[in-house]
Amino acid sequence: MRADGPLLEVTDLVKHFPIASGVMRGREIGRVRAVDGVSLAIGEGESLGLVGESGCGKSTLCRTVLGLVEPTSGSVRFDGRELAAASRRRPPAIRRQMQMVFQDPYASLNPRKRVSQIVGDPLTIHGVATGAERDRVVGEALDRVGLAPAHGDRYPHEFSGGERQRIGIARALALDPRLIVADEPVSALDVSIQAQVVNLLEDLRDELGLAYLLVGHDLGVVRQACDRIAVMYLGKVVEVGPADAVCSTPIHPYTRSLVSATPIPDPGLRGRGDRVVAEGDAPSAASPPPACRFHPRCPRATGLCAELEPQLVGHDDGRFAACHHPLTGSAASD
Amino acid sequence: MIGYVVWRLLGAVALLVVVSALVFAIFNVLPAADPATLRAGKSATPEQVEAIRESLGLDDPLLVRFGRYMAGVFTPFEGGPLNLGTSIFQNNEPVLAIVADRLPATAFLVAGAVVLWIGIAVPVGVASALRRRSALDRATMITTLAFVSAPVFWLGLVALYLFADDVGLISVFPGVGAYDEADGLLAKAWTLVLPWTVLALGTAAIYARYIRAEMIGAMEEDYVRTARAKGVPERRVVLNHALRSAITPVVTLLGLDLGLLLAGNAILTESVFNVPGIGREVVTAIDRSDYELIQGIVLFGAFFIVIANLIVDVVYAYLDPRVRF
Amino acid sequence: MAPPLLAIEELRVGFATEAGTVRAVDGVSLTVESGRVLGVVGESGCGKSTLAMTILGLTRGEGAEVSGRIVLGGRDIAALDESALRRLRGAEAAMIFQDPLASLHPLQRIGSQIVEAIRAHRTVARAAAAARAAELLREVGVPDPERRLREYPHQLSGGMRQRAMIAIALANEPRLLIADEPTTAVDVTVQARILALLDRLRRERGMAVVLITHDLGVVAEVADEVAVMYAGRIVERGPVERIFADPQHPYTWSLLASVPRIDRPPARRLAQVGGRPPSLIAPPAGCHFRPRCPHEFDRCSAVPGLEPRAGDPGHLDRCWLDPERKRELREAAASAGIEDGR
Repeated sequence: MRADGPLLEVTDLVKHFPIASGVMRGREIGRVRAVDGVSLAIGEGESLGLVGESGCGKSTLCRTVLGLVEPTSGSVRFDGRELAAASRRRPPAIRRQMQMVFQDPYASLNPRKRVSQIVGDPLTIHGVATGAERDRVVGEALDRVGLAPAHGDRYPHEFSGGERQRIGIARALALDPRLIVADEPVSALDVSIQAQVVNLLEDLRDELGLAYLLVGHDLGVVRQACDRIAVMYLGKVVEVGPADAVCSTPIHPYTRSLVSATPIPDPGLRGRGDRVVAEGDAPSAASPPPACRFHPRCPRATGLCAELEPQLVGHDDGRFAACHHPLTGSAASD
Repeated sequence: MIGYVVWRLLGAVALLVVVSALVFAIFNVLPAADPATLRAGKSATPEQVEAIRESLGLDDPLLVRFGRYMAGVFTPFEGGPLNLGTSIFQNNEPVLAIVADRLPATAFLVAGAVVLWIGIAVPVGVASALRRRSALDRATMITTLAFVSAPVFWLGLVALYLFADDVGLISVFPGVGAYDEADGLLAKAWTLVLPWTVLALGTAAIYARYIRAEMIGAMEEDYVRTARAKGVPERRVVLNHALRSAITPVVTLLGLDLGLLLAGNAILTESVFNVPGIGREVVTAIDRSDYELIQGIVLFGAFFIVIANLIVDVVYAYLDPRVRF
Repeated sequence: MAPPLLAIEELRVGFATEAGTVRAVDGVSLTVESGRVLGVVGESGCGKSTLAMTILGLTRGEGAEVSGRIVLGGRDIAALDESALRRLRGAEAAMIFQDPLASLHPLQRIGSQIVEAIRAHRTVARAAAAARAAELLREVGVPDPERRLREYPHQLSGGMRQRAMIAIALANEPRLLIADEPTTAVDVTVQARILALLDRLRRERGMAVVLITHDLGVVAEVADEVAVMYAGRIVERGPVERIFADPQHPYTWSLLASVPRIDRPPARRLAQVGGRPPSLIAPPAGCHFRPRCPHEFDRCSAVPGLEPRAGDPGHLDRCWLDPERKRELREAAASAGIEDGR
């Protein structure tokens, strides 16, 4: 286990998608600022949850970190080595150490391949193992996710959603990565199956020292599975901190509105007075509000918020938030 | 939207130039017929042929000749606003005049056929979709398959064999060549009944199957379920909700088919029934290597197709508000 | 006490397939009173959506075999013919669906979709209907309603679309509203506002609401009564406080224990249920949950009736275990699963 520096370090990552006008191709009339300056770090064996609502840029961030999409600017360092620069001809060794699990268990497995092929393909592609050795690794991976080696002979359609998601995780594990990026891995699953997959991820973290970046929109799942949580809004990270702290005493007003909007399975807590929900709808990432992006919807906004963009600054206990008027301590109500 | 249309029109002009260049190249590079010889006639002397060649400027480089042609296209002359050259075999009649003369017959043929095939395809397609796997549906599928597979000229000949008043078993409709002889719109329409039917049946078959498939898809959509949940009468659900969605791609198809047909794609039907339209004209022109006429017709055809494409795209944006330029 | 607005009795819905009949709903009985919300909660395949669709007869065209009674306002609507049922749909009883982008017609303006709902049941001039449509949009919290009427669904945000769907459902003052996963497809902050809207409308109009969802948090937020469905049957039913505080069925325990909560430290391990839901073509004999239940015993080979075993007549369950044993088992599971910290 390396002690020097984080495993994954993202610095000022920016990804803009140009909007081309329909008439004269190539003339850009705007940009979708999907990721607009995001910095975060994940240490070895650490789990970071990235939460945000639709349009916040979390999926784009995932893809940019993995090199599936080339960033507009900024850097992604894995194990100290710059990735963003060598995006096309990335050294395969690095690719092996960072794997991805996708959201849709029905679309992310090739229906024409057997499970053993699906899980074994990464080994073949990277030339890591062939033949009997490969079969052994595949068997181990399947076993680790709770599937029998015999399941390798079957096709994806013979499995349920939760099982398919586990196959996807087995595929990610085949190369023995140090980091897994999971983009909404449980959103398409039923609650009791979600639990299986979440438990699996936690077990892998505990047993293998696997680090993961878990992207999701469900604060409950993310809190359960992750040590730390980062909250994204319109392309920027607005708060980062230990999972428990972020959920119980949010600093940023948007985090608070997310927390108070998340329903709790306890009717006794109904109508709790601290519910504060953001006004209006989220604006489009093509035209984010100036300065603090949340200010048009924020109950605490002042003139300053519309003029000066708040930076991500440190608060106590390893917490960061980007807000001019943070909620501090346990002041969860105004 | 205006910007888009202008952009497309510019593109259309460019495309037409390219098409005419291609046609020009084909006819002036292929050894099939020497225009000078063709013009001179059978009993010409080599000197006469040479003289004609010089007068036509056939010895000039290809590019120069093409340039002259294109310049000529846009020069008005006493034959009309565009000079597409003159036909070799039709007494030097301006090509434009010939096309203009033949177009109405084709247009009439196509218009009637369109009405007929839409009138058949929509009800049949919708009914089949609503009663899937019923006897009606199976009958429809088999019949449409038959008509899609049957060659148009065969259908035409069978129709004549059965129903033509001069050679047919049951003397009902006018036979071959009757269009020319008929006087007045109604009489001409009567002569076109068989050609309409023949042209329409094959296309109706395709459209019926297509509409059926689209309707089946549309009826499964969530918004149809919502309409029913609102208590909307089933007939309205089928027409205003499902058919409304299903018809949009069909309109696109129709526009493109119209463009093709006006460009001369009704060749087979016109030939079998001897309807004096563009399709038949191009057949005779090819037969005689009347290259100026062919070139003119091809150019005209390209124009129709390009315009049809543009109209179809604009209409689609009108029908589907999600599509915007 | 006034009779319930909606009373479903022994409803069974089966779909004939090549492999056999799929018993999507296998003997469901429940009641809803005016002004109250019944939350029907369950996972995919449990039959809750089929149940919702069958109430309004929307499964009729799909080859479904339906038996049982559905009594709305005193009459059995399961026995109505199609035209009578159509008069009821969108008027006395209305339904909203999960994905508003797919459930609204993409090629029709919002205004005409609302107007259509109005004019399907009343003879009203178009202009008057349009005015009413704007009013409805305003009532469901859509700003600038006149402009929205002329827009198409894809031009609205997800939350606005769902509000438009609610406006359509309310157009004719229904007494019963069926909401099939109305907030599953929207963000959590939008969900909170939509649920608050539904709650307000329900109270103002005294509507009965059947809320179908897989989200226990949603149920806890808005439901008065809860019915838990599994494999086509209701396995537990009762007031929402009782279901959450004192669940009686092992499936309910595991559901509750597998939901991560943000108001408590994370569980050491979320409860997970092994195996898969049973095939609805050939479900297991006896209790449907038996193959996956860690506490099953020999009695479970007979189907447990839905009965009040916990002492409260309003709280019914389908589990043969006696209440004492249930409490023991539940407490054991709870203490094993949830510990403070990690």
